[in-house]
Amino acid sequence: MYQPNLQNIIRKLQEALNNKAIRSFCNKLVKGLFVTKSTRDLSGILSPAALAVFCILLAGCEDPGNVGSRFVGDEADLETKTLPAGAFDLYPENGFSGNLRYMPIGRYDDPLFGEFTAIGILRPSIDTTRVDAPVEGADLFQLRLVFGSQVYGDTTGTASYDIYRLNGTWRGNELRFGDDIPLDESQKIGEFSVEGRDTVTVELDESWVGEYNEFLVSGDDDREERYRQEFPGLAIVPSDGNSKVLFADMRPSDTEDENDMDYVRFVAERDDEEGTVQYQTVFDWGSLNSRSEPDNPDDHLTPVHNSYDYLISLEPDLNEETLGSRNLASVRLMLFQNQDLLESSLPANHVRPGVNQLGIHIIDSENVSERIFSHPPDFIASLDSTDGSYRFDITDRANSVLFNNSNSGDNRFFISLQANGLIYSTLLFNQDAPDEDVRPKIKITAKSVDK
Amino acid sequence: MRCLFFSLLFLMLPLSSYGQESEARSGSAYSSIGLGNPADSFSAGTVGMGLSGVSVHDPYTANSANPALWGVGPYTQGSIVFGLQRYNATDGLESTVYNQFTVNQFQLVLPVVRSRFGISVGFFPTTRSNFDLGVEGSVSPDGEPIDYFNRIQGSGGGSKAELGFGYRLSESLAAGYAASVHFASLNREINTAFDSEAFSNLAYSENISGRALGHRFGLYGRTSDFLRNRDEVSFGASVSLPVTIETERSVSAFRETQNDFSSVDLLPENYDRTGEVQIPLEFNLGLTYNPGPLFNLSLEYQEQLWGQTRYSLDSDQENYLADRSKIGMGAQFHPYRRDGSGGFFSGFKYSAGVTYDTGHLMVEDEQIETLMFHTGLGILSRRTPSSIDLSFQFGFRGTETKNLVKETMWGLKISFNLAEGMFVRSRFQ
Repeated sequence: MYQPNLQNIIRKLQEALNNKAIRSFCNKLVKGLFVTKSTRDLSGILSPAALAVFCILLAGCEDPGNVGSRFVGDEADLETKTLPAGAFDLYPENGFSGNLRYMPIGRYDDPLFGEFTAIGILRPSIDTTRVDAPVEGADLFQLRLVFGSQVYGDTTGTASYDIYRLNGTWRGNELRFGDDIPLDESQKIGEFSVEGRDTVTVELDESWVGEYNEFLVSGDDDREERYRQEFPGLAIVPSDGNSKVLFADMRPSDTEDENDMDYVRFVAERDDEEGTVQYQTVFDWGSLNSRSEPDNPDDHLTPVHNSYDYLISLEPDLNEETLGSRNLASVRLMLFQNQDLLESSLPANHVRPGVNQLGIHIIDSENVSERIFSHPPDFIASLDSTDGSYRFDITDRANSVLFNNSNSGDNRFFISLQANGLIYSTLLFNQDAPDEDVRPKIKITAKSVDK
Repeated sequence: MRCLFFSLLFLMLPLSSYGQESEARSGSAYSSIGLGNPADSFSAGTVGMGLSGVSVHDPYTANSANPALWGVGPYTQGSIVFGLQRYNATDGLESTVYNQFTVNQFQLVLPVVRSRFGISVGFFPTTRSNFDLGVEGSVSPDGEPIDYFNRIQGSGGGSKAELGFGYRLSESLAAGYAASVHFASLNREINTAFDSEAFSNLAYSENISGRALGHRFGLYGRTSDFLRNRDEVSFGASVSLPVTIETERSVSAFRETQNDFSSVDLLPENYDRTGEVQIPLEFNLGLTYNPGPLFNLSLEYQEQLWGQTRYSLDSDQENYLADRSKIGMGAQFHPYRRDGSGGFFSGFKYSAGVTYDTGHLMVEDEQIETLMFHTGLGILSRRTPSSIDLSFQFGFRGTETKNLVKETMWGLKISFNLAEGMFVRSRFQ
């Protein structure tokens, strides 16, 4: 590391001294100066080129090291301090529950988080390139449900479901946690039971299929718009006694292979000689999610769900005074989950999908949930299972506060989880936790420059 | 030769930036303290003895140590001195080798009135700081230690641009004065690298700069036929008054924010960026005896009161500073002054000397002393009074006691001394 610098100097010197004009001038000068033969010989030894060679030889023998490092100090002037991260605020806005990758259906009474109920709602496409004639007579029209590998609840029990006609219009993109759409429970369209996570094919009632047929064969120009507004679709409702939530695997929005049978489809099975089978994709889907209060909520703990029953925010007090330095090596927001309680609260054979990552969205405007669902998090932290912590590296944010004055608006930190239709929940220690070590906090490591 | 002088001057200007503001930051660990190690100023003609030349009058080389001597010489004089030092440093545990190229000084002396009144302009380093130090450590913000490597590279130091005059009061007595502008400029690049992705590497630059006026006085006296016929004894003294430099400190870095990556100021807005560093009171005393024209013997004593100087930028470093005393003795042999042509070895000027220096640092009750041996060879022009002086130094600084640093030093200096024949004749006489 030393050598290149000195070599630069030597190179400059060499270049200058090897410049033809200067060299010629030097030669003349030396000859003019030292007229005796003997001294002229010596002057040759002292020529600039010889000196440059000497310098290069000397420079080439460097052996850098850290001798004398005691003078720079042993501790590098690093300081660590901890700030409280503030209080969790519950923000009264719900997350979206439609058109996600997975559609939860089922019910599970979680000892920690209360009873969660998910009613899956969906309606088939009216794409006549896939299903090209009315499904009538002896034809069958079925719902083929493919479930993902995750289960929330009792893994050993059998889950039963009834299918009803919905009695109201809806759009998957607008569904939120807690929304309710009335059902026509007077007529069951279908029913099924699932053991484990089997794929299930359910025959649908003729009357509902007939209603669907009207839109399928309609030649009206406003066929699609009317279908959207007038055809309510169907609802998959967990029966009483259901003790698990399954996750139907819907078509990923970015897939191009719509015939892929790994996802939920409607199946038209023709009563013809060839036994023709046609697959209809799902036009719109979502989930009507709700949750009851747990029996004995702990005031020191704040539940966090990716179903976004509500939004949770923090407003840490970040400014030059609280940060204590402008030379920040690390600023980390640390949240802790109650690892022991999460692991010990479920009976045998019951499972709860675990949270492995939390996000932070910094939002300073209204429409918080739209922002969370349409933008990636500003910061992500993975679970450290050794202590149940999530450590967000918010150094860039702190630098922004220091150098861009980014704290001038109402910048709140919203805790976010990946929303893909699966149900994740965790319990975070909040600002009232008796153990100060597990409260939300910000740990700052900085190097002093203002000695 | 005039062209050569200006060519070297031209060459020196960019290189001088390496001398003081060098990007090549290998050097003595001791130079990391304060403004750096004192840069001894040697007159071009006495560099071979390792003496400042405060009492040595050489009509053919510019004297940088004593303003009084600017009024004594009959010739226009110019000098440029380059140096290359090699250090082998060890602290008992490990060792390191580094080299340092420096532009020591340049000076021009014009006899406005021949052998009566002369002026001098020059540029001289006063301190020199070049170092590259690193230390490993660990920090445990969460209990688990995180290793780091803290590296500091420094360069810069103090220098002065000086303008002064010398006046010969009588046949045997001269006095001089010089005013100077002192510059302080220190640059430190600090980089702390952590062995953790959760920690950002901290790289930043610290710059300290300032300037102030300084004053220097000189006195020179001589008498002939002191002990024997045609001998000469000369006495020289110079005093540099202490200089207080008001400095401005800045600390900057490139930092990544959520929006951009830009240069930022790391010092708080209300932080007092000013500081105070001092160049101490210095006095030089010298006695030179010339038994004849072929030989001179010099004895010098120098005192710099570093122990009383301020270095407000770092109180720990300020506490290391201690008064510095330097004593030196040297001799020169001038066989070329003999009448008639001699052999090969009669065409040179020979110098040798030894200096002992208590150092300007006291670390853990250990004075950082320096012992240096010097020798020189002057190559003289037959047609003009000009010369090229080569000198070699070898010595030791510091101690390994208490894990301090002991440095073994070798040095080569070359000075180009230009006098009237190859320079501007005085036109004011």
